[in-house]
Amino acid sequence: MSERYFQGYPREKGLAGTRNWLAVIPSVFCANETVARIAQASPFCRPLLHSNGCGQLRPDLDVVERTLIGLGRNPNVGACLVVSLGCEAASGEEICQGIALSGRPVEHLVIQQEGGISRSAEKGRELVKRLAAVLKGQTREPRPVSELLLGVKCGSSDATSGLAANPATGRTVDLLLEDGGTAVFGETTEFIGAEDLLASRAADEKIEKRILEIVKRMEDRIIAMGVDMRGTQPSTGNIAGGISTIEEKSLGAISKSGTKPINGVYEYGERVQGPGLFIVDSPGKEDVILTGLSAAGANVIIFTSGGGAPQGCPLVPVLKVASNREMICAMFEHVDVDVSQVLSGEKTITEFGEAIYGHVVSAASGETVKAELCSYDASSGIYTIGPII
Amino acid sequence: MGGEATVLDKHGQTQVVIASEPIAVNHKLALENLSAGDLVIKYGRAIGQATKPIGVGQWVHIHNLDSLRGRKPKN
Repeated sequence: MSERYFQGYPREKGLAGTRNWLAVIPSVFCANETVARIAQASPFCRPLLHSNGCGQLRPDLDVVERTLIGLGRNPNVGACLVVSLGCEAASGEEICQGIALSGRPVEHLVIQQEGGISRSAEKGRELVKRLAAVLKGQTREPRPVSELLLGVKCGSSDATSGLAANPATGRTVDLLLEDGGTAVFGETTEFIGAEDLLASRAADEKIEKRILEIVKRMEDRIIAMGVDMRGTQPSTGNIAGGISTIEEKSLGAISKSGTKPINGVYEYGERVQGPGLFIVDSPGKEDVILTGLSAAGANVIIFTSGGGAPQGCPLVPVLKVASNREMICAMFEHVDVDVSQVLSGEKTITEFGEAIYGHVVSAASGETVKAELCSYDASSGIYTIGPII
Repeated sequence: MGGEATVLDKHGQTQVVIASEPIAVNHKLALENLSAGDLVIKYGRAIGQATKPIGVGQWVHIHNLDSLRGRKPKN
């Protein structure tokens, strides 16, 4: 086990916080404006604005509720305020109860009961003041890296991603797992054409079958739309960057998961129980997978790219690892780690795997990542698949 | 036209290929002759199928390479 440490906020169960946020969570999109106004009250607040919670069928509402609970229970959250309108389909009470099981302080505010945004914002500011006082008393202390849950994701991929940024990140994942940590990845669409390689790493037959099932489920959904997947996967930018087919993109993408056995597959919004390496069934769409990784309990996320991806997320530091030197020069303010020297032959994937691990530990200990520095971290999105009604 | 490319593999083996057309940085060139229908191999795996004959040194991309996945079965 590990002797490597980071400076984190101790939490109730296994994973330490790498940030200490007061999450202000709308149970429905109709509460977004009120949440945004309340969140201005304190620098501890992170508003998790989204577009779900009503006008949806129960299977999707279940996903929405468990995802919002997962966000409220993320290790980087010290306290929560859930804001409901009052007439929505998603249950604010259940979301509060689910979060409260973690032992975190949770408050619930219902706009229709308070009587409008002005009164709700006033009450919300009082609640925020009380919750923020709890957070102010909490301090960082040394925590073992086994209390890290590292999410990995790739985006704005080009042909360099699969040769440098992804395999170097895969090396970091291997190192963290060797130190007793946990890692999670998704983007099921980008398993297509490489799923047998992932299935061959499954820890048991049930997991092997499940990996193949989630890929078939995703591919069947695409085919059912009756259109060519090209133009979306690979995207226009992927194709311009030299990726021709989904198989090529997938083979490059899966290397970010390293080489270790895969210990389980989770549905979107579920909390991962580590240690080990896990899959969360999710699309690659940035806001949706970053939210899914956050709900799974990730306290640090690595986002690899050719060099053109600025996106972060509200609760978790998202570290940008990029491999296309030309793009890195153009998008410099959004890149944390430049691994383009793998392609020029000046450094190896193994060397960068260790270097990225160092950046993960620094970010976990409080060092600001570029997405935070640029405030490129406001979006959330939830993976629903049913009709909007 | 006619640029010389030195191709390195994982095992340190090199192969010199003459590019027969302009190829953008990070894009693919063919290391051997392919017929239409042949599998195109990268990362040691099939990444799709050639849709027309491709000669050594030619650019390989969506104009001559087709995915086999995520698409309706061909009639």
